[in-house]
Amino acid sequence: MTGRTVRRLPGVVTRRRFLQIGGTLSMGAVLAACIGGGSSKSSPDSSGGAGGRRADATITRTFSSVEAVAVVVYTTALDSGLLTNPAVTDLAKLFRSHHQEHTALFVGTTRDLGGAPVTDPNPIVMQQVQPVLESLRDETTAVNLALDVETILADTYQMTMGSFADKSFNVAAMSVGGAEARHAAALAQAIGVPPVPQAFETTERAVPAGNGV
Amino acid sequence: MTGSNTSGDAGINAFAQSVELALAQAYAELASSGKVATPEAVDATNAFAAHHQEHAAALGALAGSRATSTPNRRLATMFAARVRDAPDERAALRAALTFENEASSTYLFALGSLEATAALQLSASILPVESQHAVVLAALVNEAPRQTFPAFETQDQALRPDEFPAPS
Repeated sequence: MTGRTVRRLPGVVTRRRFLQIGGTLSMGAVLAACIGGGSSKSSPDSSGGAGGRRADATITRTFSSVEAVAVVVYTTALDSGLLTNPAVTDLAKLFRSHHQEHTALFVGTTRDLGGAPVTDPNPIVMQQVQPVLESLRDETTAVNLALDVETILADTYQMTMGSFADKSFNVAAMSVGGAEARHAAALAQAIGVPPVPQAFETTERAVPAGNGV
Repeated sequence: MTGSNTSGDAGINAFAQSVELALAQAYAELASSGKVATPEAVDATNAFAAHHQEHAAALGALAGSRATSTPNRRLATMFAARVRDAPDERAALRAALTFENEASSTYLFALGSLEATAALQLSASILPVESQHAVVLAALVNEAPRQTFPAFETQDQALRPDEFPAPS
């Protein structure tokens, strides 16, 4: 590969990329990603073996399914014409692009872990979201729904801490969870809700791993 | 390891505690400097200072015998210089924005080393709050959304214990 220009294809994300998200990780983790992901070579790695990879794939499948909900919510809000404030519209477009990126990341990671990728919105979360989506009447109700979904996402990432068989996934998961928390704060500000309501983020709204997938 | 407090974790928690104490001290200096005066900014910075005190207390509880009551000395000096050098409210809030982004980055860095579930969960409950502080401060200084909202948090701005050792 040395000397060749490698073009990253849009939407093609690997487990190695997941491990690199959030910055430099231990060489052991990167090495494990290189050897463990997609290679038939049997090698000790940090992923907890086949059982560990299966469990981690359940988590990443849940992540992509909840990210897909966020994409649906932002797309519906943007297409509805209810977002009238240009700053809110710009944020909605930016945040949707983040969720599309997150979805692609977890779909790729799930595949590399040997799991079946989930691209559909999580049905359990959609059950809660759909009635609200269908009754959106103005910008405030749309932003409020987006805030709800961002909170669910942030809580979901946070709740997985200590659950991954491959501990290096902790950094990658919270690199996304922190981004969702930023989204939530901005949306809260847009509708006059306290953007940092407490000193510690909770996991009250989290979707447990495996729910709906 | 799950649920226990490893010796490595205790050191990381003590380091993070010293960072939080330095942040609380920086906000106190910001308040006493008189540079932050608009009510919205005063309310936000007072609330964030209180959050950092709460974070320090929680981290101290997990740090056990390694817990400290002293702010991280090098960081406190660096933060104080930034506050002192800020010519006006906007610059002072920009300094605070940098602190918060560094804090968030530091927790992400810590998550790569922590082992016990309790320590992981505590850091993961603080990281998003530091990120949200950054969002509020960014709005106060009208920072461009693309700078305020990365698709992924990174460790790029992490404060590292080798550079800013915790008080012993």
